[in-house]
Amino acid sequence: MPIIRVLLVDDHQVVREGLKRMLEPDKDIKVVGEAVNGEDAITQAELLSPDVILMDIKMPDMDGITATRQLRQKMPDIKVIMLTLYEYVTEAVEAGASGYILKDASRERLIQAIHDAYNGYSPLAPSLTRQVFTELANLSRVIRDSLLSERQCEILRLIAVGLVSRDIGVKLCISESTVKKELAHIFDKLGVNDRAQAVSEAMKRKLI
Amino acid sequence: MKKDILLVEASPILLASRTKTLEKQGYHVTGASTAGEVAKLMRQESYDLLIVDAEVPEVLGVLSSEVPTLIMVNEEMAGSPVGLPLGIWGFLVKPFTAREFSRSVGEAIDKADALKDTIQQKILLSLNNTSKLLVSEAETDKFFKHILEIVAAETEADRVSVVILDEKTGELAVKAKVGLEPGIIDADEKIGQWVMKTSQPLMVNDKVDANPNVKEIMSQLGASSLLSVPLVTSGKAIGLINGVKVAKGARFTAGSLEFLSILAEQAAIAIENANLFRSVEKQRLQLEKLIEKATLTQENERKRVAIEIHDSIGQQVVGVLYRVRAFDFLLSASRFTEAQAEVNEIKGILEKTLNELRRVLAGLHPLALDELGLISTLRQEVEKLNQETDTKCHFQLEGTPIELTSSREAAIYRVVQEALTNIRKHANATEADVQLHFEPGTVSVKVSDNGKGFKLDETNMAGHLGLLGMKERAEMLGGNLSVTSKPGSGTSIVLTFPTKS
Repeated sequence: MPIIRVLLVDDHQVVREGLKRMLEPDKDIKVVGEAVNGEDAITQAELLSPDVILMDIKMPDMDGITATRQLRQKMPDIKVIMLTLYEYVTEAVEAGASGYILKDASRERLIQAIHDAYNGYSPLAPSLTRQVFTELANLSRVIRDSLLSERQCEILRLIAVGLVSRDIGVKLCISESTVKKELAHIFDKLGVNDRAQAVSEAMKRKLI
Repeated sequence: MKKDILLVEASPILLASRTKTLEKQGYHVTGASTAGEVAKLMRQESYDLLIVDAEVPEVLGVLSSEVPTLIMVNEEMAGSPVGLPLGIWGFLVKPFTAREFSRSVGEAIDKADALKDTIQQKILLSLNNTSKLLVSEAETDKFFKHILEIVAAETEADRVSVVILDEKTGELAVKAKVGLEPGIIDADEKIGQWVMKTSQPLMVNDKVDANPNVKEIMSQLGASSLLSVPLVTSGKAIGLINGVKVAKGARFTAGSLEFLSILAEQAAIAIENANLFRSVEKQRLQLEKLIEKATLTQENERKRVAIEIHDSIGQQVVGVLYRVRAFDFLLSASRFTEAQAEVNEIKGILEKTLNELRRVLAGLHPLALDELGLISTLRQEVEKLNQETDTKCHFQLEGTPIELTSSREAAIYRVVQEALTNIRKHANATEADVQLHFEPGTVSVKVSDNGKGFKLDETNMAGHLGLLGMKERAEMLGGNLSVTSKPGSGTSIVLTFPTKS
């Protein structure tokens, strides 16, 4: 197994030193360099081509999220793990981070996270998974609603099980003409011409 | 004064004869025979009494409840007075004799006079009520105008003014005026000075009797008579109300003087109340501002401490945590020599963390103050500067020390600390002095140096010296901080607190 080359980015020397000491005894990991802020991180990364970067977020001059975003453009192969006291998961993910670990993580977890990121997985602090799931759910809902409303999805589901407009109206407590109006909207939004196409398109897009 | 009566009668014969009856009794009578005429006349003139024949078509519709009205009705109408307007002061049931007519008119006039007194009282009452709201300039102006209106209407003066004494400058200024412009500038103020001196009302109907000074002013004003009443509260004249008549032989009556005196008394109370209210309000606003400032200062302080703890102690604790984990691993891997080295380093970091903690705590509250007291702590600071720099610093204690509140002690300590830091960093001084000075009623501390000084402006205060926060803190605690500095001639910072003597 090849050695994983790691770059440490944190504005506090005492933290970098601690990390180094904690990681060094692991025979698979080698700390190849240190950087004191986002800008420095980019310079060091270009110089050293590390496999994994442990990146703090709040740093003077350039923060870790900005640096991650730029690194993703310049050196997309480098895996960036955010290592921080704060919770900016969404921003970090959006910027292109591979993992998100809190600074109080145990030695084993941190080493595991470095391995995971190196192998193409996305390590995430367990205390943050709930937040990530909630945000993902909210996000999916927003995306879906911008396409089809809850009622339109319901109508499509009922069509899929074989109900006609009148029965759908009865079931949803709306008039048959409302059902038909909604259907016209659905056809329009999905770019289809009939009910069967609408159902299959919605299924394909995982809307129902 | 002749009473004005408007007599409304459809029949020309009756109109003529009743007019004659009334005129014989000394009334001034205007006649009218249609509702239209009545409406028009009432718009143009004001009457003391209306005498109206109810049978004039539509006349009841134009009557006003504000004008005393005597109404002549037939028997049928008298039996059911429904539909008659409000404000009817009396009835005369037709037919009646000239004598009955005269008596009824006389009674109605008396009743109207009596009511007029009540109206005056009402005006004064309303004056008093308005005064409670005289908080803003606009309201005060409105109040003065209100006074003018009342005085002008009551005394029939050709010019009325309200003159108020400015407490700060001690000068009189016209706050509101109505009527003729005087031929000379400051006429109102000149009368005012005279009246204010005596604090007594002044009524001059005949210039011949008047004091030469007053006579002079009256001549300049072109006044034939003058009535001026001071506004007196708590035995002090705060202004006056002036009335002037210009027509030859026009006089102010004793009634006018009495009326104006009552009005002035009420108005003065109102103005004083308003002034009191305003000063209380001002104090309240000041207090509010102070509290806001205090809260903000506190919040900024907390923020600063939070950042400091995060940046120094927080990070060191994280570092130590990592080291301990490394140590843990080394121990479990039986790499004892490395583990021992790690422990030694951990000890070093912890010692540094403890120092940091002390430093942050000292910033929060100088603990030395509690242990050593203000004077020894200041001596210590001065000694530190002597040891660590080339600046020769002296500490001097003057007067007899008294006990200070801990927040004031802390403020004094911080100002000295801040000033000494500035001397250390920027002043390039060879000598510096710290003087703590106690005297009855005040305590002050002065830090001065012979260094390079600086140009004094707000930005310097705020950015360069960090003294602006000190100044705010000092003011919050009832003190005052002043900084004097000039490039090339040193800096001097003085913090003063009043104390109970």
